Amino acid sequence: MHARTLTAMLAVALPVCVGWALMQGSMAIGPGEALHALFAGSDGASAMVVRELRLPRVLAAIAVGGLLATAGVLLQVLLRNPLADPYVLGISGGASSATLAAMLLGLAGWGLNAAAFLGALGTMFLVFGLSRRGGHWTRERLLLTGVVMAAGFGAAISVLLAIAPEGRLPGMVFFLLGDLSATPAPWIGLAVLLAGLALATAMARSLNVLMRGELVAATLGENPLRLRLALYALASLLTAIAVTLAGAIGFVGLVVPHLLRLLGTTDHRWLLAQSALLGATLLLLADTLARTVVAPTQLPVGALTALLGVPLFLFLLARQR
Amino acid sequence: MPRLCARELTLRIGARTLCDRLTVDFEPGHVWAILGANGAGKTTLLHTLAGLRAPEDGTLLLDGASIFAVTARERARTLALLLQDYDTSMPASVMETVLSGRHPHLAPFAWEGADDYAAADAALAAAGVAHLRERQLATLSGGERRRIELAAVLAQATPVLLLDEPTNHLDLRHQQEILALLAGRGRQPDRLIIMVLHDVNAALRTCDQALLLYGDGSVAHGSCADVITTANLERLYGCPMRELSQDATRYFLPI
Repeated sequence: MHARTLTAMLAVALPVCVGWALMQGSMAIGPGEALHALFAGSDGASAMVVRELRLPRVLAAIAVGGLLATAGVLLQVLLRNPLADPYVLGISGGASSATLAAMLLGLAGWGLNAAAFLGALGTMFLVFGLSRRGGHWTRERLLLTGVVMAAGFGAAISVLLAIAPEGRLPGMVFFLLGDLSATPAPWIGLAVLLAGLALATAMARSLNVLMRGELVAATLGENPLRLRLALYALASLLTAIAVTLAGAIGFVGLVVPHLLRLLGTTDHRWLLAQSALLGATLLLLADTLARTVVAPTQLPVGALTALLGVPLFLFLLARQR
Repeated sequence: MPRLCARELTLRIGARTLCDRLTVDFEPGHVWAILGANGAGKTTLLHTLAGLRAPEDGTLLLDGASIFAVTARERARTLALLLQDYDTSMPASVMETVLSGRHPHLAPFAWEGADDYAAADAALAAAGVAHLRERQLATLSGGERRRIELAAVLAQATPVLLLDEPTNHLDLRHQQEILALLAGRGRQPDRLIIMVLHDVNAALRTCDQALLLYGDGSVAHGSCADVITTANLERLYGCPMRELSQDATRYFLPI
């Protein structure tokens, strides 16, 4: 399929899914009502539900899905491994550990978001500093340092869960699986997504070259070290924002770029935009299902992304030669 | 003026000296072979000549100026390097791979234009792989991939070509074709080709100059007729050699 056609299809699919998601929920709302609520500013009960409850959550899903998929693309190029995901270098582990510790200390609301962001940022600098010690900053050292740090954070999370009072456990487990019901200020996520996507797309042709190897990039006039530093910083920041907004939602960052590569998009000038669109759409679908399938009980969206993503991915893999 | 010249070039890896105060002029219109045993430092020398690593001592001039005085992007428009191996863990199409050779010629945010596609198609045809244009890299054989990598280097359209074992993975016929292509290109005025080879007889057919890296820091260089001799090759590879001659062409065989 031509990259342009696929991009156009994804660009149409996202608003269609937004419309569908706005109509789903305990209160049935038709397409006309939803449009009216969005654009005419009517103030009935259904308009309030659409604007105050459903729209922020839809925007949060779009932002977090787009952020995770974009970060996944960038990390896969950085590590030159199509199976890398935004969490492989321990960022989500750091964010989760910090948030759970904050929960134990009794923090709530913005305090938890601040803890998550600081945990993610701290991990980014820690992994970078540790992997750079002793000379060359190679992708093998970076990957090993990140994987070991992630394992360490996994242990820290287990300890925090073990010592947590029973009343706090459900909230902690929900956070660990990833959850969009309490995402504050989704516009921050959207703004970071758009800025990050613009920056990444500006260096997309260099990413195509870097994908062939660092030496190849150097012979083609790039500065591979500078490029990799930019990639690492950008991918880590996008992941940190996503985790701060919604916890560690799994699978989107791994499966979306990989799925598009299986469909034939390997040029990053297309792949970045396509990934952001598909990541946003997939997470929006998953989150809408998560809050409606067994309503009024809400499922953690992270479980849904995996349940949707795993069969889709296995199907595409099996279809391959 | 030589396109590339080494002045008192010293290369070391750890405690080993690969070459010691090497001075050599690589004049345009010539095709050079770098010969040496495994681990003698052929690839290190080639990467140094490409400006990818700094020599431990000495200077390297590209068209009269230090190779480190120009930006990497400018250098990539003068000099291209075919690596010994490429990482193929990330999927890419054949056309994307060959077009990557156009990267240093394109403005930062530009897309490839008709000229770039024409250069890529010409490079694919020259490497004998025009029929693979629409394929994905992962579906190709080792030899086919090698010719795509060579096409990407040719698409870079540089007067200086450095090639690390360009005939790796190629069958006999394709070895001949690629070496004949390179010999033809290298002999054009203003062009220079330097290639690492393991096949002494291929070097004799393709190259007019040779540089022998003995691995102990000493180097012999000059015309193939002068430096490729039984005595030098026996010292180079550490095995007895025999020279055969037919129709005024020399052949060397290990015995």
